[in-house]
Amino acid sequence: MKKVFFAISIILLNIVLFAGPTMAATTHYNQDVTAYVGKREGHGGMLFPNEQYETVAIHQKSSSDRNPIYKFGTTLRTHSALNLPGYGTKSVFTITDTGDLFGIHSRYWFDVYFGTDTTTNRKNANTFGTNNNIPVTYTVYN
Amino acid sequence: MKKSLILIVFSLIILLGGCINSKSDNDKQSAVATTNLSVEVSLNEAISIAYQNAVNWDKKAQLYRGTSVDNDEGITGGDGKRRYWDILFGIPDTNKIFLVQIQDAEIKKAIDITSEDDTPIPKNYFIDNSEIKFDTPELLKKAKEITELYPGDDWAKGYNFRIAKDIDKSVILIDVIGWNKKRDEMKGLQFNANTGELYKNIEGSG
Repeated sequence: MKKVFFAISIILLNIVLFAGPTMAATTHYNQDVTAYVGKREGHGGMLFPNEQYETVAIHQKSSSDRNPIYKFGTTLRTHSALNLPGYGTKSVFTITDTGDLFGIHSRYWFDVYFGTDTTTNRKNANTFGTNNNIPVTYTVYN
Repeated sequence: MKKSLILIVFSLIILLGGCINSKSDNDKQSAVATTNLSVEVSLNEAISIAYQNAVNWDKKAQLYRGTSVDNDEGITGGDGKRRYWDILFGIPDTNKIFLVQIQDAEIKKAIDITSEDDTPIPKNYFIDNSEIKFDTPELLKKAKEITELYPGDDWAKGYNFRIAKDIDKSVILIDVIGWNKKRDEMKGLQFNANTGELYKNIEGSG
């Protein structure tokens, strides 16, 4: 009887431990951050509409697995607000793009969409973030 | 005696479960629900569920934006409904932001993610719920009538949806996102959430 009771308790404990909600928050420290410009309609096979200073791209899981390392639509928040020319400062972004297929940047790098390819936006993008030696710490609400 | 022991063990298990589920980060977390039921909801249903929590956070809360989240293992969204949504609220002309995560028609997490360093978000970025007259099930149907739109099977699985405001033209937009037949190119259709009219068809221009 005791053995049965013990076994049931262990099973129930496992259910509680491993069947709970999977949503969590994950923080990544001192990651590369860059900016990009391009069509609002996205690029290549990624035609999801980009939004200036809202859309961010992250790495794919691997060069052969085009799933992003965090799910499409996930919200992230930087621990220090990013300076976005013409807008001000902002911390909350949405992951709806992927990039850096060759993995040049740190694993949890992200890329902020700076708008269409104008001289001003391109200049702003080129002087942003890691290009200016500013790493970023952020939390992903996955 | 045995009954008491069983009761104690069960109580401990439930308590332990509660502690584990509420762990996460330093952010203020105001609601966590638990369920194993798989329930899909439309965009407007998700907003409606989230809104109650947002006004409890602050009675001046307004919808800022929302998107389906691609957490599903399989293809989903075929009826304009999804299991997972991230809905963001804010208070116009302040930097206050509140994230409500919906899973299976319940609030899974509701967090104040305000950053005091942020520039206040102008009022024109916010959405008046009463102006949203169309929902994702009917807009997906409409999208499929306009173009061949297929569900993603790899990433951005099924059909995805997003709501945000085009601040330049002050139009609330609902995006319906799918793929071409080969699943090598995403396609997006933007609809005016108030009139249901096609606003922009984004395909094949990458």
